Amino acid sequence: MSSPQPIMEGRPGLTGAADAASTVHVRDLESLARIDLAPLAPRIDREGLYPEAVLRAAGAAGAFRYHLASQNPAGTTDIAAAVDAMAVLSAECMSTGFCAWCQDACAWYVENSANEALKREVLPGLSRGELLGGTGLSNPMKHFSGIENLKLSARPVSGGFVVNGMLPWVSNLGEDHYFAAIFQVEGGDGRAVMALIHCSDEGFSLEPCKEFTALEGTRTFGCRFKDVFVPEDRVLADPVAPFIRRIRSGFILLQMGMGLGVVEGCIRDIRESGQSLSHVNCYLDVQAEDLETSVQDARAALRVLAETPFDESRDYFREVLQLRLAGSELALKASQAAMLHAGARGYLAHAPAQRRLRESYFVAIVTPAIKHIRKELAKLEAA
Amino acid sequence: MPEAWRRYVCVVCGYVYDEEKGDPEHGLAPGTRYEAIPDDWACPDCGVTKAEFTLIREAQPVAGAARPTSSTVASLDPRAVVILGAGMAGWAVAERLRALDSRRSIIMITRDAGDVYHKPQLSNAFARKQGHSDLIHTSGAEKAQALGITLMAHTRVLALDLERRRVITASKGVPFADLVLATGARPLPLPVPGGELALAVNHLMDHRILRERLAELPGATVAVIGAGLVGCELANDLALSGHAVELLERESRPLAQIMPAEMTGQLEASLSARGVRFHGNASVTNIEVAEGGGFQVHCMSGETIRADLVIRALGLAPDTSLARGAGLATGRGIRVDERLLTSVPGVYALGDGIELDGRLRPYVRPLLEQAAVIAARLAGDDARYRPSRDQVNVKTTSLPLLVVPPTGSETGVWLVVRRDEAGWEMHCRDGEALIGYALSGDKIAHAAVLNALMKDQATAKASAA
Repeated sequence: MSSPQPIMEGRPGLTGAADAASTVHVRDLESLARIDLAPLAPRIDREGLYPEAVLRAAGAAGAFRYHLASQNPAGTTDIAAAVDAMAVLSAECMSTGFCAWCQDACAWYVENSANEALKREVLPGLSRGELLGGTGLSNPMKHFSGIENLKLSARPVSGGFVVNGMLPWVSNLGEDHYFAAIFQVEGGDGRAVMALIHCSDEGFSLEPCKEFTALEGTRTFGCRFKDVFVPEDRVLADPVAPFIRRIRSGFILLQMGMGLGVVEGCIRDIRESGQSLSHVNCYLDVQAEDLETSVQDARAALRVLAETPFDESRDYFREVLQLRLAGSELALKASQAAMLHAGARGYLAHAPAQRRLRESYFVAIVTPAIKHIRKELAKLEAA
Repeated sequence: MPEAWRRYVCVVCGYVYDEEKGDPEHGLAPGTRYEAIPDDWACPDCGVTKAEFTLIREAQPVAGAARPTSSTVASLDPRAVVILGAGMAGWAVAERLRALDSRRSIIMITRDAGDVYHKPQLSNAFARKQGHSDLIHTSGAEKAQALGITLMAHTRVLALDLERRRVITASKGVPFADLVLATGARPLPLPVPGGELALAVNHLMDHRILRERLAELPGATVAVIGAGLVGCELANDLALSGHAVELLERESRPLAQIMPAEMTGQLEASLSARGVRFHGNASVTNIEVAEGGGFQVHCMSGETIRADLVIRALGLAPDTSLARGAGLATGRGIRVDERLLTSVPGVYALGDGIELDGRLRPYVRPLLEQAAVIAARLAGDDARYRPSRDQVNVKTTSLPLLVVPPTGSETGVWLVVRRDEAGWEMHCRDGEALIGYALSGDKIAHAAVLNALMKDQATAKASAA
């Protein structure tokens, strides 16, 4: 076997954690996850190590472009394949899987926008992991469900908008990263507009967040806008409502990569525990086979739903939410099972089981959270 | 060939030393054999030496270890009967099966709320002043509770995995021992430009939409495309509730598929008296949104009909997509045999969606008979479905009709037996044999006598053979 070539030097994380993942190698995604990513998972989880090199290598291996018809060789919008790639990463380290989702979502917006310049200049880089990016849509998604007001406002000016406000908790960011934001336009018709922001834009600043209980290495920041000029050529959608209807199902379906990956990681852990403990673990309620059956079911459902990501019907959106809810509930169930199968060893600070437990709660609370989905489903089912 | 990698477990804390992975953080390169581990190496988790490690021999689960049913993890009974669809056919199976077997798990999955309603009432609801909630006999949730079944409402079946015997939905996979497809039929589309502008009325929710649209258009003119059973009934119902109705039919007369011509002339006259304008030989070429609101329906003849609302009633086609996707044999419908089994054991089908002996078996009476057969089979009887003759009730209140058409293979001659102001009676005969009949108005009361006659004929024929 020839020795793999280093492809990318990592950069020091903004959070100041030393970057031991400075060198990874060109590999297929499975090997990348197992060999390069797995050993870093505890440090990404707790110490704020940003898996930049792994992300860039995953992009080079094609992980971020399956859902981008304009960027992949097949020319198809294959959300199921994008989910599979994200799950491979998430099974070793869901923080990295979440960064992959941020990246996928950011590219998904550009791909589906009418902004040809961004498609030409930014999208290819995002799709290959050469440019990295995040998504500031948690607040708008809650806004459109009647849960929160938009936190950014914009004043129209010649050639663009001047944006002010503060978004909490936007992930996969850095000084040279992009992310998408939605802001309320002042006065007039009160419409909202979506645009791509660069973290080095003048007046924009990243503010450190308080410590989280997991996912410390996902480069999650508060995003402060102080008179940030957003030129028209960075606009992704104006007005934003019809655009959101078009992209929201893909946005949500892609998140399945996190949940399914966590569950698959749990299944592996349970099997591993079983090698020495199956004489007692067999008394537990949830076994690896049960979870495997559920994963197969969820993947079968995903394959069907992923065929029509641009279906804007109420019924289809309901199904997308049902699947996403099932993904959250399954992740919670699987991580709890993994803990119980691991026993006291799972409680060790570096044990995968306790990390997956915290990761699974993230799957369940990241927008759309279980409570948010249930609210939407109740609304859709009452209609 | 090198020996396979081994794994050793720390008996103190349970840490697993894998020879393949080693413990690089503490100086053991990947591939370090247990024997080669220095004595001063310590378990990374609890600090004991390698002497405290034992070789892992794959542990075996305890045979027969009972897993208690968990209170927190809702699991579905893999021995369940799963019914897909909560229309009349689905509920009929659930009801009859529950009557025969009080304990079997029954799970019903439906895309809608599962509310129980009598579908034929949809084409008579306006004249009866029945609102949306009047049409619902019982809510799905109440009915499910009464029968002791699990209703998964608002849930579309995305796929069937017959190999793993699971129904795939977005919420979860549902295991089944027996599966009943009561997935019905879909209204045929109107395949012309603008055809999608025409509403179809094949479901409670369709009717609600129609009602809401009409509420915004008092005194509206409604065009109904297709003068079959449902088209005629809807035209009649809308006319009775004060709408001007334009009834368009490709054939020259209404109900041309099933009714003798003499009788449909009478129907046309009575509909016309109620304000329905019948347009025969009207082949629709396209529908346009009219300037200033409403629609224009253009016909091949050059005729253009203006309407505020357009309804299509072109008949139904079995919904076979799910069955086909799962590899079940399908033709025009889901193919079943007289046991109502599809091509896969334990998978049944009934109602508007099936094809038996090359024929579709629509209408309410057959589906009730089929539900009884499936329920009996699920309860352990070797029941068979022997189709009775189709009997079509046309509930056009201006002139109710009842027809038993001859079956596809039979040819006969229609004769008027009686006719007066109150109604007609026609027989279809093949020589001496009565092979069908059509009744209108008060003559419908004769149906029982004619049915008995046809039954006697069949018995005599069978004993002669």
